[in-house]
Amino acid sequence: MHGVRPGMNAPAPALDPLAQITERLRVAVQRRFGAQSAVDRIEVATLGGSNRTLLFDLVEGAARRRLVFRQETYRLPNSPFIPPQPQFRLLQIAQGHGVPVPTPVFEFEPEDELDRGYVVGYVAGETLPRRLLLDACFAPARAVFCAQAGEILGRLHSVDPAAAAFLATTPDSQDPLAAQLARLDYYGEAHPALELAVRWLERHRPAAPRRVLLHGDFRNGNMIMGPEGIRAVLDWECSHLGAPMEDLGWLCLRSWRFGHHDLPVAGMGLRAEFYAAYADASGYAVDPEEVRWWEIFGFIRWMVLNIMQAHGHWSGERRSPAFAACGRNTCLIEYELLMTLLGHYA
Amino acid sequence: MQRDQPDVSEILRTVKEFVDDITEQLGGQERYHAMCASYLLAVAGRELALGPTLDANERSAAGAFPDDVAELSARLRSGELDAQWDAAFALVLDHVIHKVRISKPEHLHPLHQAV
Repeated sequence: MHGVRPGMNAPAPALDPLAQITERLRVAVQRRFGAQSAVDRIEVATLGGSNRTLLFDLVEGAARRRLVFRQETYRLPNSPFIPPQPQFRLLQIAQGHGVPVPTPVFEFEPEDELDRGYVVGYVAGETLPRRLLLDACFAPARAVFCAQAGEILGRLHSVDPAAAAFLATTPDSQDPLAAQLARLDYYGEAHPALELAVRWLERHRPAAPRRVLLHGDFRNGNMIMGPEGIRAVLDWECSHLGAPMEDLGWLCLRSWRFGHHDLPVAGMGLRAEFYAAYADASGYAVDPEEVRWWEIFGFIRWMVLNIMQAHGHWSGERRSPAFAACGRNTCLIEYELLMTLLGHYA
Repeated sequence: MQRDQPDVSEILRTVKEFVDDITEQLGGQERYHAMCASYLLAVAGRELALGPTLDANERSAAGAFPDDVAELSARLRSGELDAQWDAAFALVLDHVIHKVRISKPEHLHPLHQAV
């Protein structure tokens, strides 16, 4: 630590963080697109938390492209999220297999002094589940949702998992259930309902499935949609290798229906349509019982994510009323889990 | 000895009313956080009103099972309660229903709505 001794001039005030970042972004852009290129119309989308997201225009002569700057600012201990570098690789892989994603543009390098992150193309549209489920203008998107979601997952699961071998060491690739329990134990909160579900899962484990590249968080809220349908699949930070039905079960989780339980696939459509579209695109039939197994697993995972948010709050890492509320919402997921195991909910 | 009015539940109600009043004037993340804060105050109010009765019910229902959640969780994970699955399930369901009564009672299925 350097103290300021009496009689010395006080050090020049540091640039405010946003000004410093935008200046470094300008340099990073010019390093790649030439000294004539420029950064314009910067807009802060999210600041703080564990990620910083800025929108900006890349200007090259008369051409303008709207881009998104995404930077990891803080890494939670025991984070369940993969770092930006493999996320960027996954965007490239997904795009190469016809999965709609924001176009990967460039990754930060050490000389950019921007820590860890990347720049991708901006995709206009809506992500808020309630608007997507209720607004009349999204009726056409809801009508094609199951067909599109099945096709997207079918394509993604057809990627040779060797192309994503860099994910093999993440805990979720090794044993997804053990990964959840390790996180739960780290947060240090006991949940008997979760333990019951773990016993049920262990006693009903499906036969060893094929192993594929999973999105890991494919659900309502993590895709940008327009009135015509899905425009881009976002949030690849939970991606790992595993059983294909894990992605299908997660999308069918009761929690993403927002009350529209007559439409079990994300509150948008019917299972049969989703499963058929997946089978068409992947060449593999769907076993509904295996999807159900992964829905039970999904409740556990969703609980652990809420417990993580609450832990971040009460441990003081990042306090917020929203994270505090997650802690007291965990029992709502427990209840749905038990009611699903009892057969009252499907 | 008794303390002065307002009592704790009345204080929570007062703060919640204030938060609800100003929520309308807020936007974006502040508005969302105000709604979360209001929810948390309602949870605290219900816990204050219902907690002692629910705790006593759980202790008497536990029977031979541990009434400590950490101990019950550990025994469930070890598999030693597999043979008493239905009884353990019923106990845990009751425990969860109690938590939901405090967090968000309207979330319960009509089966469990009755007091």
